[in-house]
Amino acid sequence: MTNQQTWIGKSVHRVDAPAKLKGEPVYMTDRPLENPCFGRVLRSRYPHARILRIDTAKASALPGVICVLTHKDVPGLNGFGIVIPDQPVLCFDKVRMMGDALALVAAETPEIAAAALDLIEVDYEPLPIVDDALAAIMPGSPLVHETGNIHLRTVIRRGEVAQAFAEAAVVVDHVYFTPRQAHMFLETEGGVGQLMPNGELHIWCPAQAAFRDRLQVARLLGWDPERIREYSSPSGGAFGGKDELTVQHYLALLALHTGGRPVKIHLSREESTVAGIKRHPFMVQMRTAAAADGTFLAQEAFVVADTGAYASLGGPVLNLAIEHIGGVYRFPSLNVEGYCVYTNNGISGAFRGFGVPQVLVALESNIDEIARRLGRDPLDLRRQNLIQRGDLSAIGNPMTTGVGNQAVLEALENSPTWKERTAKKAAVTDPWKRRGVGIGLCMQGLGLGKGIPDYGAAVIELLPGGKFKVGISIQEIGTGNQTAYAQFAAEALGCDVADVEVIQGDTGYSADAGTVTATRSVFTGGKAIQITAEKMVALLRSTGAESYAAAYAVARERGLETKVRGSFAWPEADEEIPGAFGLPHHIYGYGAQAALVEVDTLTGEVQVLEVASVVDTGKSINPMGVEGQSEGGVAQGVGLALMEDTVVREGRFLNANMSNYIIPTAGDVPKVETFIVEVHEEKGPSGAKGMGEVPIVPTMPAIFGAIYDAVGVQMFRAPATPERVYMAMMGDPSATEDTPALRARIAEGRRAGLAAQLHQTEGEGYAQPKGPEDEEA
Amino acid sequence: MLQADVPVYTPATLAEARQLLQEPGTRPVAGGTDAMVRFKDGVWRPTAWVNLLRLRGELAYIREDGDWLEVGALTTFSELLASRVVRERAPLLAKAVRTVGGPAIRNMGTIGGNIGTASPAGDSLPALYALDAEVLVNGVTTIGIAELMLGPGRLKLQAGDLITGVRFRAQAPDEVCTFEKLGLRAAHAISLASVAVRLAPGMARVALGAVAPTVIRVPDAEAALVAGHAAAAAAAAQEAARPISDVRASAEYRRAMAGNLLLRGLMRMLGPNLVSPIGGDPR
Amino acid sequence: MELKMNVNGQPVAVEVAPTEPLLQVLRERLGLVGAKEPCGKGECGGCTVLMNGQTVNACLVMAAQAEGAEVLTVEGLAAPDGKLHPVQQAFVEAGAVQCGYCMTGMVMSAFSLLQQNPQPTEAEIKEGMEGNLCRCTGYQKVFDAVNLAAGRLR
Ligand SMILES: Cc1cc2nc3c(=O)[nH]c(=O)nc-3n(C[C@H](O)[C@H](O)[C@H](O)COP(=O)(O)OP(=O)(O)OC[C@H]3O[C@@H](n4cnc5c(N)ncnc54)[C@H](O)[C@@H]3O)c2cc1C
Ligand code: FES
Ligand code: FES
Repeated sequence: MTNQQTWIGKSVHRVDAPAKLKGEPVYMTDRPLENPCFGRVLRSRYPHARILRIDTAKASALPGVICVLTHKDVPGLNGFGIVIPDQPVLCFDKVRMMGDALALVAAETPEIAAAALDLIEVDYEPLPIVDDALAAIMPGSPLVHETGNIHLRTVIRRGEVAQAFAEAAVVVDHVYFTPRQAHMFLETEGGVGQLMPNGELHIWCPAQAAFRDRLQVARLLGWDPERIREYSSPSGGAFGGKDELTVQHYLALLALHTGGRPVKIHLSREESTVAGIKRHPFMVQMRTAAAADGTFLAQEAFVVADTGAYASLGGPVLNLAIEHIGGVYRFPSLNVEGYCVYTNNGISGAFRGFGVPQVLVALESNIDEIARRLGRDPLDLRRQNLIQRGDLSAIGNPMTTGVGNQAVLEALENSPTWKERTAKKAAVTDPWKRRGVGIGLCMQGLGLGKGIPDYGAAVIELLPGGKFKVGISIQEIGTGNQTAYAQFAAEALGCDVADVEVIQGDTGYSADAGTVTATRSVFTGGKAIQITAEKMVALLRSTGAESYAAAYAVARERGLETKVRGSFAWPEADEEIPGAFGLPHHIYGYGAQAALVEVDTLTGEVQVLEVASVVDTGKSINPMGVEGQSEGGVAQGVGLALMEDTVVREGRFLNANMSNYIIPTAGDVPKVETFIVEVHEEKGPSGAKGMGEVPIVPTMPAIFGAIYDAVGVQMFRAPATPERVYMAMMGDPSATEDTPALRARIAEGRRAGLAAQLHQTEGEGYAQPKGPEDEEA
Repeated sequence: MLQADVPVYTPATLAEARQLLQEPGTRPVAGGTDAMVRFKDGVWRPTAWVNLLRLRGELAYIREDGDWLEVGALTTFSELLASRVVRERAPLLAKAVRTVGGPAIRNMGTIGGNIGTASPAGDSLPALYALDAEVLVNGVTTIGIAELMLGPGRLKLQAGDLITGVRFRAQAPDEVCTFEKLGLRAAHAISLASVAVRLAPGMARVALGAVAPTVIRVPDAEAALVAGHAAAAAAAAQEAARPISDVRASAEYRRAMAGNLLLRGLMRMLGPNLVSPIGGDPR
Repeated sequence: MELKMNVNGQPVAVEVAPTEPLLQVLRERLGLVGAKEPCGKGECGGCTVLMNGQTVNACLVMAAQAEGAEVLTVEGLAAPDGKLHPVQQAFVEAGAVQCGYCMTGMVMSAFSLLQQNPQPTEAEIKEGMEGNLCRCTGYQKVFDAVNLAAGRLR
């Protein structure tokens, strides 16, 4: 490790900020277009229905309409999906959610395209729906896919669970519910498709996985992927919500029918909410056991995740949640059973935190109650049970990489929010308000996990004058990786950040480096750039030149290749966790937060005043960027804990616009103080590991703990709206959802899930779409 | 009719505007902050819009007339907030207007439009009720605000009628007042419930927003306050509320809040010792 | 109708539908894409521009209502040589930009706030920015940026 670093660890200004602030057309949906036409998507009118007929004649005849496409116009596989292609590109036999696409229109103006949609005739036969995830498991439930509603069942058992519960001094057992949080990135899904004169199809679309998108588009077109080029960076926010195909497939199909004209789609906010993926709503029943001295003995959980009509990343989300079911604590025994199920409630997929916030709120809330029952300080009790390097995690994974737990906890303990909590709580001004402080600790698996190909690649090109172009397929979605990449490159090449231009998300310029998800972008890009930079340095040496500018001249003279490439594979755990695909992870990020809240006892309003946010980043590449991620993660966590939920009733969306799906404003966010802890990660680039997801994870439990501390009520359902908090404070019995009836349903769900599992042979749990040919046959 | 085909007329005088509005199916637009949203959603599709903004010279004003204040219909929320006269002589209205939207919405949105939309959650309205405001119609007749409001989106107006202003007596220097708004977040929030309160020796005004088809005054609560019974006033407010359940909140909660917001307002105005919460201390 | 306005100091005349939102006129007819359309309903402030000296949500202004107006968009802030306006520069230095999609609207609101109130308090800054939603930053560095800009413009 070098100790004299010029760029790494410095709060370098964002390289992309000036152009964005000037309003230059940097986003894919802002591109100036020559002679454009406009695309629209016909969405379903029912959450579940058989399609009897689609007639496009009238729409096609409308003046100004260029083309109208249906499933018949999908030349290749009519299905997509990151893990399994169970989502039709254009529906043919039935629709399974309101966002399902039935037809595409391209027209001269957006309004004509909209009018054409109204002229497409679709006859539906409505089908019974399933809109409750637990109900979806039960026998007799309407089937979203013929193969059954259980997309994935994962069970992990370890140690002597029954014995541990029998011997425990304290057992806490509750049921928690978390909401269908919407990503609400400010740039809705959109982009441009165009068939180029050279026969290539170009797609400009903000995304998170350029090469995988290209592969999916190639598959549905029946094309060679090499003929397709996706430009996918930057994005006006993504947070996981642009990990699936969003509109690339529609752009691709339409572009084949517009005579070479660029076709643009840009979803309205309402369409984005209805059609786009969401955070999986979870129900978590969790039973936690501790000994009289505070030692955690056992963790038992039953988890149901609602993936909506299609799988997307529902399976991996469930498994990551299960991996983190014991949080940062030692649990010698574990019994967890999880289901990811299909319903007609839209579609869920990747969202920052990826299942972990949903289970962590249950765990940390249970731990708070154990502390209270044992008369223990909540922070001290957590310290007693912290995983240390070399320990096994709850699922039995040996923790052999940099474990930041201890350092994170110490930083939290020393934060003013925690240390001065007594004074801060007493400083309440209005007598009808109460203040409280709560904490949450977390870890978050980084990278894709055991057995899933995870790798990075980069190119570096030497330019005239000794400047560089760095190419990496991982996109800038707002996290600042473009700047971090410039820093890595400048450090490794010994040049100035200003001499590095970073090209991202272009499948035509650099090799596949995977997704910008799973907090993997700094690790992956950093490592790939460092490895590639060594080759560039070798090139310089081989020319014998004193400077890069001179090296360029020499290289040109000798006809040397001035573009170098490098790649590497992510480190992964030695042993897999049986029965849980993708588990375990090998490297984890750590974080902790303390929240100070003020509750209005007259209304139930909760104001988060202050959050101390601790993150273990490994080496922090750009501390200002880390702070920004921390502040933004907390804000999203505040939204998740207090106000956000996409309300879907009977499959229909009740709050699809930004006036009733609300996210925090400037007046709702706390003052966030970030404490960066740098526990060196020897496998990471310059000791870094990444941190983007971590800050949203502990916020909800910290806020729930603080609400309890303030007014003595535990919230079991997020978001903790004023009404829910008020009703809980009033002791309203209807505020308690954990009734004997619910327990009976959970028991029934467990039995039904097991029975369904026994009827399925391995691998058949995944629903496969039928092709249109089958339908006609 | 396609959005693009709807004409917009921009009259230069009140008389011309009234003429244009005689045409069936036309609708005025002022700041457009309600009109444009509903137009885009397809809820309102008039045969023509009559754009009032060129009447600002005539209808954007804040006038003192002895004990009375008069505000022109096209006065924006920002103009009200910036006015020293409003802040000092109608502080209740200033407090209410401060809670509307964000700065840009306040720059565009007008008081006439807030009345014109006739939403029970319109935030200037409880203040206007509590001020016993009269609405000026066509610059000539006046009608009491409560009489004007028939229901959500419904006003006692004839085709071609324009709201030209609103007038009310200035608040007395010895009076106290508050506007309590409960939304689901700190700004850009639609009221779940709101209450405007004025108090002076022997006088009380209580108006509730968002808990009935229109804003309502609560005479029983006012009488209880004059008699010095805070808890009884809050109970009367809850009794008077006729709330609905929707995606934002249940009727039951809104009803409880009608009383609790009144209590909170009283505590804020008078100090907490004067009031014992009806909800009880949760601890 | 033919819409005549003055945009960023330049007179413009464009053929538009009278109810067309000013935002579409700017973005699609004039190619000024600095103002964005994250919601289209006045909720997010992503389309904030100055009209006759005051911030408005361009998504809610009918074209006909902008007739004769002075419009300032974010493209009109930086100097002709590309040098950032002090407000924009402050956003860079404070680290306020993440995905950046909300930031043009933020800059316009901050610019307008500081025009009206050159030395805003912390509470006034919050109030001045409360109509602009950001999903990335948690706003803290936006407040820092406005503070920094206030100091410089003073
Ligand atoms: C993001 C957002 C946030 C908002 N927040 C709030 C809030 O917190 N509180 C609140 O109360 N409101 C809020 N509103 C609603 C709106 O801003 C107000 O109701 C505003 O007062 C409407 O005024 P306007 O001038 O924009 O009316 P317009 O939209 O122009 O018109 C509204 C209605 O009134 C009619 N009208 C307008 N002027 C007259 C007149 N002179 N005579 C007769 N009829 C007339 C119109 O025909 C139309 O039916 C919000 C709106 C948005 C988009
Ligand atoms: S697009 Fe205008 S406020 Fe959101
Ligand atoms: S920076 Fe992404 S929305 Fe504000």
